[in-house]
Amino acid sequence: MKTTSRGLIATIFALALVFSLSITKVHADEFTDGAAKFIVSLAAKAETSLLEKDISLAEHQKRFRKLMLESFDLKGIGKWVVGRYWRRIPKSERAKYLKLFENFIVATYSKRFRVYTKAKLKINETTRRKNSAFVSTQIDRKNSKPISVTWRIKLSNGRYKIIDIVVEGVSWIQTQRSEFVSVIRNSGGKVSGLTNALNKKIADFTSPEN
Amino acid sequence: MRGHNFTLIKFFALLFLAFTISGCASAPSDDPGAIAELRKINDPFEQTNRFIFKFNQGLDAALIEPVTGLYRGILPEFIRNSVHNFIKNIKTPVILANDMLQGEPNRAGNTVIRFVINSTVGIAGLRDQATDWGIEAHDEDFGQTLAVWGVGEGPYIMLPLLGPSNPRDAIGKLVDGLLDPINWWADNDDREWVPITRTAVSGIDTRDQLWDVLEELEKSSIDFYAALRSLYRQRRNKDISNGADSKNNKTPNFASTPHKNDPQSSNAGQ
Repeated sequence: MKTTSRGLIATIFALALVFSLSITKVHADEFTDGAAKFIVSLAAKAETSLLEKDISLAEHQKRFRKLMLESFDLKGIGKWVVGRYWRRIPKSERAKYLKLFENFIVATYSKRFRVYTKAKLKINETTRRKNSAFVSTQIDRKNSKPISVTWRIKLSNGRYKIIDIVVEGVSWIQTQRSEFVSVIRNSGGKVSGLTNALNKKIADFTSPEN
Repeated sequence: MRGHNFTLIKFFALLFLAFTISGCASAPSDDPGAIAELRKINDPFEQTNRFIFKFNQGLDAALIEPVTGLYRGILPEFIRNSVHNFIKNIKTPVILANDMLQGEPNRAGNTVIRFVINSTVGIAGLRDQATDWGIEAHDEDFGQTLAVWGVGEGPYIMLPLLGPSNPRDAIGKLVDGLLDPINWWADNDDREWVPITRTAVSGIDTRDQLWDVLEELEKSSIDFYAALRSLYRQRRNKDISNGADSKNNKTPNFASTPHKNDPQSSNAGQ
């Protein structure tokens, strides 16, 4: 919790702030190689579509959602972050919950991409463990310490999908999970406590003052 | 300083008492999933902790944040960086002691070289010249040393003022205070203002360093307390392993196929 984690959340999605890229070391493995290329192209895509000036808020959100759905395994993440409570969500309600999770992610994080920051993403190393590729990157921003961000990627049906972002040793989905589980526990084990909290957060973020 | 430490010891003793009196959170049911979850959360004093957290947040809103805001408003960034560097530089003896206690001669050497460079070329530690020359800083504390020695963290505790901790790290903080020659020096000559000023300044510096993180985290979280708890543990694990490999510590067991590999959630739905 020192300097290094500065701007932690802002950099969770730092791919969109990316300005230029370089690959210094790539593992000679087709899967990891592809994963690294995937991050590179995602960064480029984020730059052209999200950092475009003079687009409306609605259009910006639409593009952000599209990019998230294309490049993140949002369903898998949404399921993982509720842990054992997934089973408590009736089958008929699961799709609804996953959609709510998606809306929460879009509402919470899309606004960060309206702010332009010059940053540089460098791929340091890509490794593989089981079915996950880990693309370690370093993000350099002006006037602040470089931040290490590791992207955890899986291949599903021939497409690369991000399943976690680890910023300076802090896993995004793990933090999200401890929050979600905590909210459910504090509402007596009811998932409705979580969905209410998510709805409230979405409303907060979409209110005009924010 | 002896008096200073004694107060600190009393403070921790009282705190310990408060936690033991507050007792354990609701006992786990016989559901193995629930027991595993409780063990993972490892926060038996959650009610007390949340209460202290509220108190800390109140104190932050009333005092620490406004003072830090003023500090940020009045002083330009390069001066604040100098303050940060200075505070870090005078922490060297404690870092060095812990490097050695952990049996890390290379890191200890690094700490010494940094101190020499920054205290001279870096103008009494105001500039971090060593980092510019490629000798990067690292932090160590006795909590980490205990962890390296195999001491477990124990339950999560929220300390008044100091924030997230656990018994291991709280004892570590106490020992770090005892290890610090600046405290000995101040103690010998009754320079009580030294540790007091230093604590205040480093508190403001820490708040300054965390300014953006805390703001972002609070904004995006639905349970700020739980988010901080998770963040604290993950960061400590990384610091203890000296950042060896974030994949090797207990980060997600969300293997490549989250829908199937997670034992806690069945295959249903995906």
